[in-house]
Amino acid sequence: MTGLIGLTLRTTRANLTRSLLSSLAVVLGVAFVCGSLMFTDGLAAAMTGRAVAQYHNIDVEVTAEPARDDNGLADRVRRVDGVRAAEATWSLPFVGLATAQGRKIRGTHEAVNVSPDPALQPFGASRGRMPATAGEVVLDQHTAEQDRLRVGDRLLISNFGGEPGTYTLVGLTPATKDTVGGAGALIVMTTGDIAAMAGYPANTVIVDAAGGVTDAELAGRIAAATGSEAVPHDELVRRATDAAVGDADTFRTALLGFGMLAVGMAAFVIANTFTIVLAQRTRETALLRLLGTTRRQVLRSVLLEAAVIGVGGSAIGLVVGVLLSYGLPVTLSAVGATADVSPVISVRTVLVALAVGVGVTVLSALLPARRGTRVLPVEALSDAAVQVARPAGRPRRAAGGTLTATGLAGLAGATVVHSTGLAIAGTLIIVTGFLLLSPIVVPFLLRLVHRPLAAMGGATVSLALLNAVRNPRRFATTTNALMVGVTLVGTFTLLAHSAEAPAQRRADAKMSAAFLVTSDLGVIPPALLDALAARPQLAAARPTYELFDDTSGLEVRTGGQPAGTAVVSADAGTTTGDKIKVGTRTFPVSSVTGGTKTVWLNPADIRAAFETPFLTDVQVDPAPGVPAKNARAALETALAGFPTAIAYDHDEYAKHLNAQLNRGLDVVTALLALAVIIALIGVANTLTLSVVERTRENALLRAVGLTRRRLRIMLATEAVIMALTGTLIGVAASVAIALSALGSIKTEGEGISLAVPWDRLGVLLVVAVLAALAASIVPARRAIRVPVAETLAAEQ
Amino acid sequence: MPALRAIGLSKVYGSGETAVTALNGVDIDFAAGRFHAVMGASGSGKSTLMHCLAGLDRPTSGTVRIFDADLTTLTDEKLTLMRRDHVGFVFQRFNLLPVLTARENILLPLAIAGRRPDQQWFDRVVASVGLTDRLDHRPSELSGGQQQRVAVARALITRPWVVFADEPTGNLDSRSGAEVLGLLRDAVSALGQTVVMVTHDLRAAAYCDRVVFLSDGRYDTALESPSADEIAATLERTR
Repeated sequence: MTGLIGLTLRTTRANLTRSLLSSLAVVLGVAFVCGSLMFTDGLAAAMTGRAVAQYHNIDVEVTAEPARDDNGLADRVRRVDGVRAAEATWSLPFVGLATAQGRKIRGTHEAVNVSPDPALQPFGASRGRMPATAGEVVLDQHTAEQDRLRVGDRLLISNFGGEPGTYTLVGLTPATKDTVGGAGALIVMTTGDIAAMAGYPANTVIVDAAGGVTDAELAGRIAAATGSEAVPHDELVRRATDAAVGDADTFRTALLGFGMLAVGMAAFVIANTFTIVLAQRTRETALLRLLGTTRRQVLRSVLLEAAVIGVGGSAIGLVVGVLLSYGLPVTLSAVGATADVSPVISVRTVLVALAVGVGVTVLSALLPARRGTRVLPVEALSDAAVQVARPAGRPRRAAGGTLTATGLAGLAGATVVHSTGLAIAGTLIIVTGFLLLSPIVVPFLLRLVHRPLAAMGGATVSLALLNAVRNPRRFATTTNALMVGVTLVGTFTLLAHSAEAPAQRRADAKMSAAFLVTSDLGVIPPALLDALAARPQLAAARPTYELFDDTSGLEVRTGGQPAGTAVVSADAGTTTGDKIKVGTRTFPVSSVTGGTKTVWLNPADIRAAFETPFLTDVQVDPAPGVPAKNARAALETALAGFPTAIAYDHDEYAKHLNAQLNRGLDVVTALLALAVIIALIGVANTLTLSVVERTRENALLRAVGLTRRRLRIMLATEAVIMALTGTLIGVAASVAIALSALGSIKTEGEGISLAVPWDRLGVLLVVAVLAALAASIVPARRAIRVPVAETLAAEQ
Repeated sequence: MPALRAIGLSKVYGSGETAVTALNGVDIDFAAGRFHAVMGASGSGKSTLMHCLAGLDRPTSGTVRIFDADLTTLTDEKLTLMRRDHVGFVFQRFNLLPVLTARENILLPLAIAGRRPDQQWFDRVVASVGLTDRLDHRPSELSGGQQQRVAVARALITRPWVVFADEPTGNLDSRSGAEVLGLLRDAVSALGQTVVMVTHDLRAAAYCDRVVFLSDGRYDTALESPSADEIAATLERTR
């Protein structure tokens, strides 16, 4: 066997350039999987570190029953024997932040408090000092840096819906906000300030133990004395660590999903490469068989070759993965994930890299290897240099046809019975069916367009078309990989774009005035209305309130009807002419409309019937005769004192609604694009191998007068044909899938209609064509460099 | 006992109306330790005969024996091992693996079997084909004649029961061709090998101890140590 292994390794090395392209596919797949692992390992480490740091200095944490309105918890904890110090703590997750000049700091900010007692502070200040007296705050360094805030600056801070207060920035801390809830600042306040801002008692008290008592002992005593849950330090850390690891795992699973996709694409490319390479090595294989190599030995040596390519690809992939793991946080920070992660390379990652790289290469080579080594020894003596492709078998046609028809029926059915599951099943079935049918269908489609294209492009194009389909199976496999990649990207883009379109409509429906004032936090302070009323440049503001009325058990919404009347939903229990009690007032019902358990009132009536209704947004028009620009300026001035309130015009609002979606879309598209890139490598691969195979033929074409330029054009055309075929079929498939998916979620006339993002699809096509042209450069150079006379004269 | 026997050997390609009978009941014995040639016009079935004799193709009916072994009853696996251990091949072209050196090509059958070479035999074979100083060259660095000499050495390295040569001089100039035929002649005379060569080259056949003629898939006649003129005359007659 040693001799055969040596031969295999030698053959692999001799075919290095050919192997390189297929290993490139392995490299990308492995790189993505490893990069994801290294990044999420780093993420887990960072999140665990944060989770642990959060409980630094805390010996016991006491949590009160949420429903208990208990201001004295901290005092009662302090009286427990063994408690040296205790402090009530709040964490307010929706806080507005602005400079005193009214510049708003965007994001979902979190406010927490610290005790003035350093032994109870889980973190300290890296610059300046921790807040000591009322009116002092500390911010996280990152926000301060990003928004150019300095120690000594004056800040406006308000709890959501509350009035803002003015604070002085006295220090910066390296601690950060929990990143799961989205990007934002960490605001550290004194206990007194946060208690006032929160307006409700703390349900958490942190404890510093006196000497001579263990955390667990003390927790037990506190729990017994106060009846509240008390958790000792180690348990707190354990819980937080578990949660952090769980979060990182979720993230890892999502990333690995994309990784698997890339690996799947690589499998297509590898399988195709081995099919082609083995077809070209038929005579060599036959010679080995003739000299007494058993079929199993040949198969084993091909698989060994695959394993060697796999090991090489894995090793390079691992290196590329390291680079990628540093790049991933930058990409992902766009969707709010933290960028503060140092990737971790573990032994597990290296093993996974090898297992994935070698596994996928060997497994994908298995089928082509079985087929390619079924060579008869006599073929070594025959003259046929190139194997004739086997036509697709009858069972394959039948299975492919049936699956495709079933899948189509599933896709169509999903829009009728509104089943998303059916749409997904239909998608999987139709793709499988098409993959089976493609060696028949794809060349057929190409023959259809052959005549018109040949008429336009002449003999060169005609020859390119014929060359492309001369081995239908090879052509189909190449375009299939691309088709699957494009279908993924296309479907995703179509669905996302279709979901985006309603944002425009939502903006239209929401905005009845020139400007909309609202908040990322959902609620704005009522005092804002007075501030707007004080501006002569603005017409009377129309507020929108929202709340739940305990009296009637109905949701209260703002309606446009005249004051003093109510509109109700049909299930509210009253009809036109009846009276309904909402809050402290009673209104006659003027009409009944759709919806569930809702009553609509005029804004003034809501204010009259409720003490503190939630103000969700305000519509504002310029005063008559005031230009929009001036009105906007006045509006911004009025809003300066309200950190959470933001003004939008129509376009800004639609954009705002889409912002989150768009960021997510871009990241997912980027991750999916990897699949398309690998598929395009497959196109380059097939073309390169075909050129090697047709060296003699191309020399013959040159001999009979095909210029170098024309030969180049011919090969470029062939590449473009492969790329366009895969892309167009993929786009068509994604339109069908998107139509079905959108149809399946349509209920009661409400739904999303398909919006085709022509610009994005156009970009996709252009990219595919350009990539194909690029892919043809190297093979074409190889083809034209071949000396015509020698090649023709040489026995192959 | 003959080294190689064909008994009632027939081979039909295809079936029904398109069936082509390549061999039609051929009975030939090839004695051990002699240099045989098989000749005949194009389409006479000489290549098919060789494929069947070497176990590369299965006859439609009839039997092929290499010493005791009945090739037609062997499984593909056994047949492969039989070729590996007991049959040598020299072809017109595409003889060598391009990635291996001359030495590795010669040792390939042993490498496939996972067997250590017998150094003495290796030296003797290499010396007899005159390649001692070219062993570390790749096929692309050797002339056509040298490549064919490597192929002869490879065919002899296992001390096979039979060496098959398929037009071994077809691709060579006359001087190189003569050298290769000399080697095969020596393999028979000096090393006691049995060689069966398919050829249409009169001068090549003239090196042989016995020349068998086929026509239309049947055994026609045989000549013992004929001259080129005798061969030419017989060929003319059997055409």
